Amino acid sequence: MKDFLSSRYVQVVLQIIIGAVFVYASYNKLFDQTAFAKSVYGYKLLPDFLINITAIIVPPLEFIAGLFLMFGLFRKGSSVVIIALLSVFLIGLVQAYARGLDIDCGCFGSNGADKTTSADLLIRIFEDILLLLGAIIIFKFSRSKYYKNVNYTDAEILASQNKET
Amino acid sequence: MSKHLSGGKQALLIFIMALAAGLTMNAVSSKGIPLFTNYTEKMKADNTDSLKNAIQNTNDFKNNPYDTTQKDKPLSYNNNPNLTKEGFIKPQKIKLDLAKLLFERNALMIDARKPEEFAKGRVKGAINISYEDYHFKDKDKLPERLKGLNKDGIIICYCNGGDCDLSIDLAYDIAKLGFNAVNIYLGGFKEWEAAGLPVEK
Repeated sequence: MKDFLSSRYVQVVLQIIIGAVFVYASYNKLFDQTAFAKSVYGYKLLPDFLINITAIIVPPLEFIAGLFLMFGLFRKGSSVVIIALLSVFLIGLVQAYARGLDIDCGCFGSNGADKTTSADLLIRIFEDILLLLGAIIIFKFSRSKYYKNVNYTDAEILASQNKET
Repeated sequence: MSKHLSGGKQALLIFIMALAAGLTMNAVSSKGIPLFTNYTEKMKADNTDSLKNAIQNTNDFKNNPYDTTQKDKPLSYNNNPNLTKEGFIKPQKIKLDLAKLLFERNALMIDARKPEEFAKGRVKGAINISYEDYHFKDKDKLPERLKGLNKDGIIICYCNGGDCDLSIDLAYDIAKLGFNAVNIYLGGFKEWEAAGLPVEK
């Protein structure tokens, strides 16, 4: 099982999927701090002074960590960042669900008006857990020896694998 | 390069890059925000008891902004303590009781939500000035939209209530154009509808 999880194929596929989800999720938020700050406020989780700074830093954090993970750069670091983000999101989502808060998820960008229903929230929680598991697999089982012994990146490994098939 | 850095250092580096990128983007973004906002203060209602009493005690208090002939100044706005340094009268954040009273005295209701939401249901007689549209897309059009209105007429901005602050932000935009009696009804459409007050579609 450990061999399977740490195989290049599983690792690269997970990296690309999770990285892409994060890049996609950050895209709409990167340019609309106002709307995302409102989403963050809606979770009623953070003290006032942390809300805006969170709304300013989280989207680029998602974008950079996602991009790095997609290209297999800084895999340990970017997976740690993503695990941390997903954990915080999970806490936010679960407490919002438990308290029955009427929130705008802000997960994949904020639309400002449309509220997330509690059924949507459950889906988001489920997605979050899946992504979290994937990120943990990357963090725990990615082998840095690809880099020590072989001088090419995951993108190149994937490309060579594609050529073979 | 990643083989030289531990996971923690990599994460720190990513964090620093994101912080720099985030601050830069926020500074150049048209939808940028201040680093800190006191949301608790922002969403808190003002004390409007004396204003409410004053209005209740007079019968000829009618301040529809559409009525440009009427002369009466709104009561609380003479020597107004809400006059800001910037020279506009700070909008008042009011609750249901006062909103209802002002509505009955012909205040102009302005719905700050998006047109789609406005179409689904609104306070009876309200007009729609979507904050998103008029602040970000058509900023220059707000004066045009409000042209000809009596600047002392009572205006009440509202949105969905709860966490919604579109009404607050819109109210400040309107007050800065020289409107002296701008109010923000914090309870918003949801509370209004739940209270059984007049709505329309």
